[in-house]
Amino acid sequence: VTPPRFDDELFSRLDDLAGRPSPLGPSVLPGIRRRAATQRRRRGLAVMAVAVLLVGGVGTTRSVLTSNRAVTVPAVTVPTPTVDRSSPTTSGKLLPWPLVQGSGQAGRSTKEHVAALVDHVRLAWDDTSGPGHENVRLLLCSGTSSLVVVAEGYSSSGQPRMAVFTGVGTPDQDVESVQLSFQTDLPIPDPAPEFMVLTVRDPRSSASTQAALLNLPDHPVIRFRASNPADRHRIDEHLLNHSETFFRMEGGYTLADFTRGSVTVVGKLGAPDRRLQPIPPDPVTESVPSANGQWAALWVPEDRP
Amino acid sequence: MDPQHEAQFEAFVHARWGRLVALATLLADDRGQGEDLVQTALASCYRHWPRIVAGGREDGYVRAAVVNAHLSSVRRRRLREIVSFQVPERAEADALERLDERDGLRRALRRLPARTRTAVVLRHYTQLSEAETATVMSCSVGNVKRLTSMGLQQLREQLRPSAPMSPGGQP
Repeated sequence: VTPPRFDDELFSRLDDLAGRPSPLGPSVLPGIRRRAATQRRRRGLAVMAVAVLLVGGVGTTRSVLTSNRAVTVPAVTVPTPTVDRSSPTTSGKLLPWPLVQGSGQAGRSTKEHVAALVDHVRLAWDDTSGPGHENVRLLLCSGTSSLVVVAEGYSSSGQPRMAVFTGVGTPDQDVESVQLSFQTDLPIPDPAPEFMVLTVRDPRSSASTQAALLNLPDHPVIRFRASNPADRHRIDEHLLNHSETFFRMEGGYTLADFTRGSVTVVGKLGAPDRRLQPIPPDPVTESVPSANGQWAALWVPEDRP
Repeated sequence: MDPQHEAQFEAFVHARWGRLVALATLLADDRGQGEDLVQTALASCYRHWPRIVAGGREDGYVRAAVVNAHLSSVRRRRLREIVSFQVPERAEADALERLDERDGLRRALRRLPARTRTAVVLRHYTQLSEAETATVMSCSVGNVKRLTSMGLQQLREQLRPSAPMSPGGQP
């Protein structure tokens, strides 16, 4: 017996989901006509408004003769629109950092890929933190098999916030089809820090931690492995030996102790000798430990270590 | 509008209402919102009905208007309504199983991006060709192929655990 084709069965299931055709109620046609009349009135008003602006222009009051009477058109000054795309209705601003540009997968444009991914993230964010997130943008989307996504946007109350998600997929899977697991939702600091470190529990292993470095384009993600929660987190040796990872980390990156309530940058690993170089503790100004101890955020507004 | 075109418009609405609402319901994931989308689309077509009829492309024009109304509503949507419970429409022996299947498909469709869901519904429910779908969605045939393929792949993945659907068929 040949199994039913996916497409054929999909049609019947979609048909079932759509339900039986609803009858045309007696109020539908009058309702459509009312809507059409409303649309026509709105268009008419818009055309009139444009005409008034064009006739009035910018300047003094002038009179316009129409048929047999004079209509006084007040002076109209059209303010130059000041569009601030980062904060259309809110007091706070989003982070002015580079956004995810997309992976440009085969057969897909980068723009479409990012748009689909943003939709996916917004849906996950709305599902967990409440609906209404707007101007959602991606600050980080790293990996597929062990995915870390960091997004920023405005909440329904207009507050600038950022959210962190993780996910586990397969290497050939589109990122927007990976099930996202919500990690945290936190306010965007004001003023914007120079860069940010977010540590996230590795979705594949509770013993590992990933650190997402934001606004450091050469250092997208560092994975830490801690066998004992009391231990200081260490760089995963496997990643250090991975050639691609090595190139990404060229220039050195930070080592941090994430095991305590406050986060302290303890050194940086220089390339190419990879020797640990101590840095002074001064750059650390603030840290935000999580309620469940699974993540912490650190911003360092001064010089990069 | 003259009486002849009025009569034509009414006849068209009577004949196509059910199918258009079904299409919009699948796009919007809600019957009430679907009916609202169709009314919005028909109202915008009503204003230009004589010109639409003269071109002989009523079906395609109205379908495109429904799709555009849906995509516009997605763009400006602020609040998402979540249907948490729905009364079974028919009492059958396998009603529960069918409800589960329907709910699974609804969830899977909801997870698709708006344009992907639109392409899948137009291709596999409305049974439009790739070229017709591209015309309705104002995009290229290649884009329709990509969206449909991506949507079907995601549906297969998400429906696999609970559904007996074969993954053999390719769009």
